[in-house]
Amino acid sequence: MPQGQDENVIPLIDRASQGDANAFGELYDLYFDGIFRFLNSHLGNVQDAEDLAEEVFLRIWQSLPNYQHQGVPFAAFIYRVARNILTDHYRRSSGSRTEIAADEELIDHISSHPSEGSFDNLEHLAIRQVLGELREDYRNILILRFYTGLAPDEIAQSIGKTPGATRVLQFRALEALRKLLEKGIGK
Amino acid sequence: MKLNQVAFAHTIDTCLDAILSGQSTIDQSMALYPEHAEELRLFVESALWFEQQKQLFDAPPELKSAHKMRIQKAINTNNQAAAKTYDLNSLLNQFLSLFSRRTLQLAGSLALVIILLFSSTAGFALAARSAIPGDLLYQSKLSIEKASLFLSITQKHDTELEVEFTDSRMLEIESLIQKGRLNLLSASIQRYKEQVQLALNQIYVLQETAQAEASQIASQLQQILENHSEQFNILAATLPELSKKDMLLALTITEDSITIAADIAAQPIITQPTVIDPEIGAPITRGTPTPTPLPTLATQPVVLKTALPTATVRPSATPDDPATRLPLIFPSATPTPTSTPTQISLPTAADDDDDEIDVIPTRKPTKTPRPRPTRNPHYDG
Repeated sequence: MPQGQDENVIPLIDRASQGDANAFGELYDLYFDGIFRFLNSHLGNVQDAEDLAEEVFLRIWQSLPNYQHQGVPFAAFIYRVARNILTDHYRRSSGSRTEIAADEELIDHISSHPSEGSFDNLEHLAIRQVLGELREDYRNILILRFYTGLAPDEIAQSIGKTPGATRVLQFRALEALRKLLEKGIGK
Repeated sequence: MKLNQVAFAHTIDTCLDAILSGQSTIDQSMALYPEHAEELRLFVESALWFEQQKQLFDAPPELKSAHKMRIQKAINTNNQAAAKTYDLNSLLNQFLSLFSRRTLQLAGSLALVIILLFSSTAGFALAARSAIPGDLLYQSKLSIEKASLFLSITQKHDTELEVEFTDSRMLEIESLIQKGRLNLLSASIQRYKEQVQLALNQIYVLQETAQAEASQIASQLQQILENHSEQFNILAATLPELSKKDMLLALTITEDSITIAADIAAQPIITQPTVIDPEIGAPITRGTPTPTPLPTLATQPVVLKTALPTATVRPSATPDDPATRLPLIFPSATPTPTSTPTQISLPTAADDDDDEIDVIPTRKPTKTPRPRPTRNPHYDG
């Protein structure tokens, strides 16, 4: 979803909130990629990301009639929903064990199938290592900023911080990322 | 000059915006900040490395269309189920939205109650019954409940209704959360609290005249509240942090009320022993029974067993007397401390030499039944 399109999606939101499934389908097309990437990068597991994405869109569908009362841009609203669902998922599956398991599975797979140690797999392992080393709030801000296409102000509203505080959080997250890369983690 | 952290964070963001949107290259951006270019470059390059990994998290191409179909199917199923229950309700909502809300609430509410109660429009009544806060028919639903209480002819039925309405309030909270109307959650939990309070008070009143029935209903309420507690716990897990505080309040209310209801349910039922006249070998008959004068409750407070501040029930001569309002088990504001209740000394045989029947202790003073019009001040105020 490109940035700054909230005005264009308002008619779609209005129609969808009145039960127009086609309008909701258009909203789905606009936001699915970002939402899926957000979930997949947090979870490191395509199957879980697919299931949670379904949950996210169904929750958005149910919440649409009340969206106008939320007072946040639609993009920020849907990522807030996604974040809540992700938190619930972590709670259900006892914290971030899923991510660790995913990394270990990937490492095992590459080790036992060296011929399949493709560039993609190795790259995936590198970014997973970096994401696993980052603090949760740093990881979240970097994923929102660079993987979802949200504008900085939308990110601020999505995580409930001021734009200034969000920028500072992003700066600290980048600093942590830079240190990890300097240590050779992820490369 | 060294930039402070906030300014530097802003500079990084500006550079990243320009580079990511294709308006400038890294070198062009660095050229704008020659004093900080070296440090800036490290941050920008790290960010760009991170950004380049994003395609690794893309959905597989074949996934999206199947996923979308699943969503649409789920939505259609959801719509059909909702339509069965709420179709009439939403049609009425659309119709009623043509009028001003206040006009409907003030003038239409009474008319709707009459129509609902005395006409055979079962669908309309059903629609009102399934209304939740935020629906136009919700006020009508509350009015129907109020009217049901007004038409009830026994205290037992009053009590059963109050307990039933407690369950309704809980279901409303559940529906609000399912529909994502979290802005109405706090008010609904307050309404739930008041309803639980009304049910408990009504059980206390019933206890004075029909202890066995009161215990039975208290036991039912206890069971209902235990279910609510479980449900609140489940719902709390689905809520955002902001709304969790409301849910914790609901849980506290429920847990406190379970204790009170269990206490009432466990109280032994006191039955009057039959006193046999030794001369005639038959139960003593007292001729025309003289009604026992009702004690003045204002001086004999009923202590509700709760950790929260106690309250007293006061009889009133006039329905409008504020003293007729029900005691607050869960104070909504800062609780006003009440005087420590006087220990009621039970009469003994030595205290009263009239006859043995009067020796039977009354566990609690009998309350004067509350005047009907003020039975549910919650709805009035």
